[in-house]
Amino acid sequence: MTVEAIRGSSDRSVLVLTSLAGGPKHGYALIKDIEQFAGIELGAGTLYGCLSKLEASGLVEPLPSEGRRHPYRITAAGLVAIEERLSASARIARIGLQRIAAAT
Amino acid sequence: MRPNRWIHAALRAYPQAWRARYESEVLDLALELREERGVGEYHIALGLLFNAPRAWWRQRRTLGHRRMFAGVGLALAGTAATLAALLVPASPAGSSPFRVVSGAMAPTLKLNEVVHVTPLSSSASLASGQIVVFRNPPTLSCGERH
Repeated sequence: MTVEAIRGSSDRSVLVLTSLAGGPKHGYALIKDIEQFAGIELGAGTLYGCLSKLEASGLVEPLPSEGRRHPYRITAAGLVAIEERLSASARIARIGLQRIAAAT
Repeated sequence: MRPNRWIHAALRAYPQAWRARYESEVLDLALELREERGVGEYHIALGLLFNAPRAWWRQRRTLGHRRMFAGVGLALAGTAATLAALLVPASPAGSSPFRVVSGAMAPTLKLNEVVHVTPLSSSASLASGQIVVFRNPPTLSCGERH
């Protein structure tokens, strides 16, 4: 599984994978982390929509439940996918910022 | 009132397989969101309802995508075949196929050969048993010239 699994998907998948790249998290911890680093508050429906898609793609996997909390972790394929996706985004951002700087 | 009544109702909009896998987790998360942040039940239920169509769409793609693509492929092939049958004539326009039932015209027309006959007049009707006079095609190369 490569970046193809998240290509064309919304930024929400990228946010979830980026959050899980920092370590396993359960749903509420994911929401808090994403809010902290991206300023975006995901709802339960949106979050589990992403998690189900990413799990079906083999990019995340569930860990044993801790009471009422259900943690997930990123898989090796997920790490490759998010690294490729973020590298591409960083490249575009760098070029865009250079051009903006040149234009001003 | 039953707790999470609206959330349960919203979850019923999801595919059965999705509910079997994620329903309890979503309910636990909803409970935590309500306790920790005071998020309203309606708000969570609306968010779930909004995302339900995507779950159905993904289920179609993941569980039945091969069957679906095969069906789409068959439908496209059928459409292409139908269009080809309609647009590409099996015989020259306006012609009718006739089988040569006699060897009397050999070697020009051999027994059991099929010829496509185009009437010179649009009002002319042809039927088996009628005598047809052929004109030598002036420009077409139909094999041996006579």
